[in-house]
Amino acid sequence: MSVSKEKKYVVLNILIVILSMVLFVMVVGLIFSTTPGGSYYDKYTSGEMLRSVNFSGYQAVSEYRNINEALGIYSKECDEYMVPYAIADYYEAAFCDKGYRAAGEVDKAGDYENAMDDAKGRMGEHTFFADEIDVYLGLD
Amino acid sequence: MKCENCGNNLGIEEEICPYCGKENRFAKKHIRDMHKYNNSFNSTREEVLANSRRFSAFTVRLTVVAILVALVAVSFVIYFNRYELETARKERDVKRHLGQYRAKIETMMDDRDYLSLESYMRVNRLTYSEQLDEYYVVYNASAAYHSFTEYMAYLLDEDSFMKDEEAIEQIATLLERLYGYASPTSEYEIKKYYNDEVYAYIDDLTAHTEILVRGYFGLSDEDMESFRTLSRARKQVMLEEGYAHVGK
Repeated sequence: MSVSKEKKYVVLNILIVILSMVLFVMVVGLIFSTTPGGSYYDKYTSGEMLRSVNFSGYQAVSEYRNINEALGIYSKECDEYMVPYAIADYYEAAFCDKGYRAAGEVDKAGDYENAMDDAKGRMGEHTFFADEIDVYLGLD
Repeated sequence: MKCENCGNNLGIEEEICPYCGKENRFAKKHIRDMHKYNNSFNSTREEVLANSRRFSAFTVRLTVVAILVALVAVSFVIYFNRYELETARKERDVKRHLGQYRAKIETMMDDRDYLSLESYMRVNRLTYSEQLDEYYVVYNASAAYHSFTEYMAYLLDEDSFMKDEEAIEQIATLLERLYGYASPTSEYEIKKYYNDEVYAYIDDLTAHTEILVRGYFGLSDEDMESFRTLSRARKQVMLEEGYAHVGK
């Protein structure tokens, strides 16, 4: 085989390898850039939600709960989410309760107090979260 | 053929006459010629096969390169248009489940579940759907409230990376936005996005937010009456003064 023909084969082989690598990267990129259902959100596990209390605060727990429920994950159907969802509910209700009380809207604040009691009941043995939220918001 | 010497019949490949023992010169020539032709034939055959293999190897490689180039081009097009493709796919999904999505949004509006409604529409990318365009203002007002709760959380968190002034500035901006949704001025938007249910929802959302602002920033009823008409900058000043008075 002549040298020029050998060079042609080498060039073609290199092209094949490079194009294959590029195609592989593009396919992997496509797979990871789209999520099932067309949503750019993924569910949060109960562990992630509980850890977020320490790292991101109670607002994050509320956000994660709302995202999970938007994705169709409700605590009624998944026991593992009972406590983190209860923490989210308690925080949201406590946040509003504090604001309403400070504004003098005591009657309406009663609804939020009821919601706090309900959420605290769902925390089971983790009611210390409710106590921490009370301290955090100055409700204690 | 016949032997040159004795005239007996000979095979073309018999080099020696079996009858008289004389050499058959035609047989030698024949055998020499056959060797030459065989060699030439084999040489040509090998050459043809070699050329054929070289051509196939080159053609196959070239074909593979062409196919890979086409696949890479297609994947580039898909990758850089993935948002449009995804949006189109989502629109088809919304059309299929339109009743279900509408019912869920209406329920959340009735329950005044502002944060859940915002999350539901955002996470499921319903905000970009033309078929649910009627909830544009409902969603944006809920999103303003959602952001309000986020900046309030930064304000309440002593370890927050955000300075109080920055959080209050954002809160003032969000309240300005909320008031804009509560009192629309655009005839086009009023006609397209507003009905009695939407007005009621946004009025309740605004009233709820104002109560929280009064409580967390120590503003009186009189303060709130004029608050809505203040400029954004004045709103911010009033919130900062109120918060400084109330503290964390």
